[in-house]
Amino acid sequence: MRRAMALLCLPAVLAAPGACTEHRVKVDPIEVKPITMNINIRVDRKLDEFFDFEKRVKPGSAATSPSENG
Amino acid sequence: MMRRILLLRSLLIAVLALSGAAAGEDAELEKLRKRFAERYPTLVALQRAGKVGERFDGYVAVVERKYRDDPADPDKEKGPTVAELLEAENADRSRLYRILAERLEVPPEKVARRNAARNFEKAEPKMYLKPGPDADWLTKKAYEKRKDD
Repeated sequence: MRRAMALLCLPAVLAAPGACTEHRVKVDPIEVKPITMNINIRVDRKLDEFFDFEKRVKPGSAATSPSENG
Repeated sequence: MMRRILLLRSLLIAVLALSGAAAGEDAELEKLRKRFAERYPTLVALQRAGKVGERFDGYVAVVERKYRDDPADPDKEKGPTVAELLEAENADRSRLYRILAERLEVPPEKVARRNAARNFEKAEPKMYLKPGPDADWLTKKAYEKRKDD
């Protein structure tokens, strides 16, 4: 019985080293730049939304230039 | 049961308080926008005249001290001086930066710097810019040239 068990286990023992494969997981460095850019885009968008009147308001020509002042 | 009612009530109060604060901020933003829009034509005219420039930190300032007491709008002799107009503009900008910073969860200085970049970008060639705390005032044209060199 013991011998039969040993014979049955033999293929598994022989196959074991072949089953060991090496896995390498490449971890990319954390990128900070896109996050910063994303924040800048969000801020810029909010500012553009807020100041959208600038496109509609026609700037006056009220103030005199320094050269005109002498 | 009583505890649950109390918990629900405090939750409801918190939600109402938060939405009330947001609505209050929206109303304040609307008032700020109105004031900015009113000042905008005069501010641009002063920038075109070379009296006022945009700073690196998101605020405006006089290019030379001698312009401080000039009337902001020569057509309105009894209106605010250049210095008074800039004080009002900068106070409103400061408030705007703080509100937007809170919403975007970034420091107010970040919003201010982004607005400075936006204003530098859209400045006309003869308008003055101050690119750093110790930098001299430069026209946009000179600033662009210096950046390229």
